[in-house]
Amino acid sequence: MNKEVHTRRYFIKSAFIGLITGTAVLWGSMVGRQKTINSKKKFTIPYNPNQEVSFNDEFIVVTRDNKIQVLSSRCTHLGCKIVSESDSKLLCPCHGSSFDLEGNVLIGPALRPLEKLDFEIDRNSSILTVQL
Amino acid sequence: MKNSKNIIKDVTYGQISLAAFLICAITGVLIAIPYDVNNPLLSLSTIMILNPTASFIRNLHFWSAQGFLIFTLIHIWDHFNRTSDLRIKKGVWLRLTIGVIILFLAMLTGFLLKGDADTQQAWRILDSLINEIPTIGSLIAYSLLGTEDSLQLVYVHHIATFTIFLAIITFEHSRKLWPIYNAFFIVLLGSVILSYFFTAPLHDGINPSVKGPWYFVGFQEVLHWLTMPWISILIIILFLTLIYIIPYAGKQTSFLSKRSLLIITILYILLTISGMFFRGENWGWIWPWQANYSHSVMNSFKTSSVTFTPDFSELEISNSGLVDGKKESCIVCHQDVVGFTASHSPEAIGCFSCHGGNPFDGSKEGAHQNMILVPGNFADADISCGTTNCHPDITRRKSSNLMSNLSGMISVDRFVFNEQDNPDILTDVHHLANTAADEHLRNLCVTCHLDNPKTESGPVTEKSRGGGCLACHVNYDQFATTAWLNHKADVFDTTYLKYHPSISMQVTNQHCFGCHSRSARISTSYEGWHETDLVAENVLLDSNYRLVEETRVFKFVQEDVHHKLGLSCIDCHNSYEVMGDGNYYAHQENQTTLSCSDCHFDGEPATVDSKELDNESAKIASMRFGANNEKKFLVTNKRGVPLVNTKVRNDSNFFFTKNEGVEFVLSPPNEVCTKGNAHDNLSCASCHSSWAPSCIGCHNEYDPNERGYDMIANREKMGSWVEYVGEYNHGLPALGVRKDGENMEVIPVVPGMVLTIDVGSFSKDLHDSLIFHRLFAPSAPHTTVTKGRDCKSCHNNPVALGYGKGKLTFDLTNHKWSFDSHYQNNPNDNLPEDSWVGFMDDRLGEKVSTRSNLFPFSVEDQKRILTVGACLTCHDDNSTVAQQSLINFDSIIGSRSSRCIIPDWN
Ligand code: FES
Repeated sequence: MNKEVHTRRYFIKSAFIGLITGTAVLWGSMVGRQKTINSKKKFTIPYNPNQEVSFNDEFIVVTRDNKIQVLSSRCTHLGCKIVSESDSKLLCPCHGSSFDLEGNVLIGPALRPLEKLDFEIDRNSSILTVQL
Repeated sequence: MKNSKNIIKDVTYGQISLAAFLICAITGVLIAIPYDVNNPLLSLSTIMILNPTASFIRNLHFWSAQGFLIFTLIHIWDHFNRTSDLRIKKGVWLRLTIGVIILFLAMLTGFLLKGDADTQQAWRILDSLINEIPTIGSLIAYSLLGTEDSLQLVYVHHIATFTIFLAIITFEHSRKLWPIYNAFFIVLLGSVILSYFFTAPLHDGINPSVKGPWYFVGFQEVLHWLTMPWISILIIILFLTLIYIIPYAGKQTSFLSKRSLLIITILYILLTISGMFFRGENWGWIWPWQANYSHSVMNSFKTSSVTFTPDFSELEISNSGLVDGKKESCIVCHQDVVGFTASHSPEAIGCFSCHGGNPFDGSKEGAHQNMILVPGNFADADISCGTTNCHPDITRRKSSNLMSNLSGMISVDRFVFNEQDNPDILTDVHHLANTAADEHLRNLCVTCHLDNPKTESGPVTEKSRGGGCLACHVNYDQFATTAWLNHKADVFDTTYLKYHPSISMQVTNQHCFGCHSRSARISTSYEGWHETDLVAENVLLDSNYRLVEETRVFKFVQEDVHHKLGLSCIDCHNSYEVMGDGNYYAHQENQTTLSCSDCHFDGEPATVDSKELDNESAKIASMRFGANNEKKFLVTNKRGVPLVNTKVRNDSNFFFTKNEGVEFVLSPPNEVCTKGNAHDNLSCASCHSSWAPSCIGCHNEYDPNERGYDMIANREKMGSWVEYVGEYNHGLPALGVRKDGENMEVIPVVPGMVLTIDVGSFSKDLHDSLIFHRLFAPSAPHTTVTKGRDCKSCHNNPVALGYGKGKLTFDLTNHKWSFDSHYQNNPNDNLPEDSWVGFMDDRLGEKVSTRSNLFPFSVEDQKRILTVGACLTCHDDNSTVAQQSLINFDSIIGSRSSRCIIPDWN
């Protein structure tokens, strides 16, 4: 009898753990897939060759000496959106990190340089496409 | 007393937080009706402006939530101190401890649901922080916050997940869902009072300071010090562990844990205070005495009370438009205002971005609080014209502009008062002291700086001074002017509210005239007018005269050829000259970049391709002249500034007026200008200036009984420097030599400071005697003529050589030049009143000019000039000899005929 109870308890416990693990796996796989669906994003903007630094929601376009660079606007500290520049420094408003126009850290707390994003430019129509 | 004791009997912190939770939950359900999670900012701004009851309920929701958080934390602390009460099961206590973090999450998600500028950043921080949790971080972050472009998940967790969790553990913990009546009514009363007087915050979208909710600000400070943010997760876990172990740990550990919690809390409060009150834009420290403190810091605390009867009609409500995806209270009342340019219309930028005030207040009084009637003054330019999305790159440069810092004017004045040895020291109008020179500046000169605030609306006139950005960029059309005049005549006439002046790039000569018709008088000279000492009444009907500011009488002499062609000041003077380029310059000739030869040149032009234009030039060019595609522009030789109103096409160079777009083909210089090398060092203005105004013999004295004015403080005062004007003259300017290292250039000069100053009258110190100066100043006469002055007007002209008016004669019998001055010698230096140097003298080692690099002709120079002058007494300007002398003067002299007489200098 005792043994039976023990086995049933063991079974329920295992089933419960199995259920939780199963749910967790389903949850993880669902979120993982959803994230991939939502993550690949392309942004197309008109490119202004005269503007040295221009800010967009997700990225910053820097044009210097005819060279274009697209940097992520996410501060590498905690992801705040960088929206301003002063004296050729990109300033993060949240905790004071600053970066040069190449994306390198000038002042922390950020440690890593801003991510460089892939882009394509159509010089004829001046359209810039950025892949996130 | 007894009654009040009865009321608060049984009201514990737990009861209060339970009551606050209940009120928060009920108001949450109600506010969900007008709130739209897909348009959070629009729905909230609409609630705040147009639906006062909803706004009040939102405030109740907000304040009860703050109460819930605060009193829950106090309740926990209270628990620790009443250990006897602690009979909570471990499992429940674990859930309650987790509940603390859920409580913060519920609060934070509420903050995120505002959907304003603060919350966008907070979303990202929260997302990154959760992502720092190893392995499962990204799963949790995504499940909790979803994607950045939708607040749907945040909303669901706020109203369901966290609320249900909190409700369950509250019930499990206290076995109650309903607080006692007393507690409920006390909290309700408190929330109602707070909600009526203090509207819950919403970021205005303009203020560049980004801060989280108050309970997060301290954490933001902590994060600033953490280059590895995962440490903050450890801190949170440590904090929760401390809470968890206190009730069950031994006495010693429990005591230590409580002490640690207390210390952490005190530190956190200190960090919160420093973050809330002393952090400004871009994470910089800011102190209460700094100019933008109120805007950067205090703005977040400025909130208005609820107006249950808004000051607008139902019709106005339904017609009111949107600004940048949200409502603004200003344009609910001020509908149908006309006069704007497209870029500055209310549809594009609203009213608030220039005029401040409270854009979410439904009452007239509340909306107008802290409003800026005349925006653009430098004191508030950073928060009006210079806000992040507008023109910060320009307003950032404002103090580098000589027209705002007046460095040159101040430095020269101090130099003239012998208060400094060098007239080129950089300074600023805001750094004036109380010396004789600085008082002189305050009384007589410094009204003309851009920083001088414009305090009343109205068009720019010849009496206008300063006004920041509006000094140049405001224009009243006929309707706006009439409406403004009507309002001035009758304050109850409010039609002027319908006709807004336009803010545009239409900068006319009138904008420059107020300041530049004084001192060097460039504006008046450019239009051809010379100031006289005549009295206004005597010339009223005479068309040869013109009155400026009603009393100053100007006589027509000759206008600048560019003015005759219709060119405005801004056609030559580009944005970097007039708005500063970020560098500080000692004098205006250093700040200006344009020279005649940038437009009138021989050979290949210096150009820039449209793709390589800097953004400011590109923007101005395209706004004025359409798309820049494939265009080539001329650039200045000095500092390579693009001339946006030029175009180079098929070997022709074109110039356009900026305001009207009239096209001109640019002409090269006259042949004679570039002939030979004799005049290589001459600036174009030395020959092509037809006249320049001058003033000599002025005396300055301080009169303690004179009613004066402090132009910095803008107030009247007793005692002032008084200027006794000598004589106004005009004529061909004198010439001088500007030395720049090895280079030298001959330029026009005028008697800048030929004057006496009675310093003793100010200082009352007998040792301070009379100062006398004979200083000439470089001049840009702005009286250009096509045909340059003739040879004799320089080589045989005592004024040109700096001797002053008089008879300069070459005696053919004794081969000597002599000079007989028109004016008496001044007893102070025994030179004629209007001269710069004595005949065959160079005043070596003396203070001679208002610059450290400007000198009269040296004796050697004078000899060379007068040698040519001697030739010109017989040879005509156009004679072969005269023309050849331009190419090789020395060989012409060497091969002169025996009849030729050259001067004898002994
Ligand atoms: S997010 Fe940029 S400094 Fe923290």
